[in-house]
Amino acid sequence: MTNVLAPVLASIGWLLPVAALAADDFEIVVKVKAGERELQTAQVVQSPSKREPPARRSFALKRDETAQVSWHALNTSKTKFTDVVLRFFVVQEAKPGQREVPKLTKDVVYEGALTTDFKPKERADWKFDLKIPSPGSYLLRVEAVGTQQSPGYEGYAAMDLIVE
Amino acid sequence: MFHVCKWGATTVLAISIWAITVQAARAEHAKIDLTVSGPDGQAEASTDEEPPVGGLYPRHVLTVKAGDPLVLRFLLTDEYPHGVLQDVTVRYFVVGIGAIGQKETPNLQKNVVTQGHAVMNMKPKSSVGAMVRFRVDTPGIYLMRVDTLNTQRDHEHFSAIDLEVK
Repeated sequence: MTNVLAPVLASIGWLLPVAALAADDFEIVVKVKAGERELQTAQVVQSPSKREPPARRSFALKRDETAQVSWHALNTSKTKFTDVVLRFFVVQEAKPGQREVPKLTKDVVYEGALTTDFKPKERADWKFDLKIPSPGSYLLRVEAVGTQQSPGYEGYAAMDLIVE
Repeated sequence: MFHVCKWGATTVLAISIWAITVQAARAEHAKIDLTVSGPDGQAEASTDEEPPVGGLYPRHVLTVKAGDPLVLRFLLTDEYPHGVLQDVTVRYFVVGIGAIGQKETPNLQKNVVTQGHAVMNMKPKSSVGAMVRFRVDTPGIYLMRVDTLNTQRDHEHFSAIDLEVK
C-alpha cells in the first residue's frame, strides 16, 4: 500500500516553513452508515497531546455488510494552509479503543490520502463503500498531517468499527 | 542528406506551430495510474481521456476467479499548471458491464461492486490516492475505473481496466 500513496505522503513537506495547523483549525467529521444505523465522530483530537484522548465511539457491522463511510475536512481558521495532507484508513486493531495506532503494513482494509491547499472555509470530502469480510475490531481514522513545524503533529477524528 | 525546399520548410514550421498551439490549448490536467492485483496477477492502466466515449486506448483485462481477494490502487496527480481547479470530483468504481471493452460507462445505480469519490480543490501537483480491498462474488465482466468530473475543461481524464470474473 505504501507504494501507491508514497508520492502523496512524500509531499507532506515536514520541514517546509508553512503555517502551523492546530487541532481546532480543521473540522474533521467522519460518518458511517449501514442500513438505518448511523454514527459520526464527536470531535477532532490533537496528537500528540498531554491530555488523555477521549474514548472513541464504536459502530457495529456485520461481516460483509456494506457500509457507506464519508468524511469532510473544513478549514475553520482564518489562515491558508498549504500542502495539507489528509490521510485516512481502516485497519484491524487488537481491541476496541486501543491507544496505539496499528502499523499500516498489514490488515489494512482501506487507505487513502489527498494533498492540497486549504484557504479559510475550504473543504474536502470523501465518500466510499466499505465491506469488511473478517470479524474483529477495526480503527477508522481520518487525520490531517504535516503542515506545521513540529513533525509528528496531527489532528484526527476516529471511531472503532466492530465487525461481528 | 536532406534537401528541404522552401515550401516544405514552411509547411513543417506551420504544422509545428499548430501542434504546439493545439497541445497548449488541450493541456492535460491529470495523470492517473491504476492497478488491480489478485492472487494470480495484476493489470495496470494509465491516463486516457474522454471524449471520445470510452477513451482512446483499449483497456487491459485481468482474469480472476469469483471470490478472489482483489486490491485496487490508484494515484491521481493534478498536472494542470494554470491554477486551482475548484470542486473537482475524483471517482472510482467497479461495476458490471455487458462486454469486455464496452465503451459506455454504465450508470452506477446497479451492479456496483464498490465505489468512492473525493471532492476537493486541486492545485498543481495535488494528489489523490487510495487502496481498496474488495472481491467480486458473481462471474461476469466488470469495469474498474478512476475518473475526474467537473474539471471545467473540454475533456475529462480516466484510467480503466476490465475484470473478467470466472
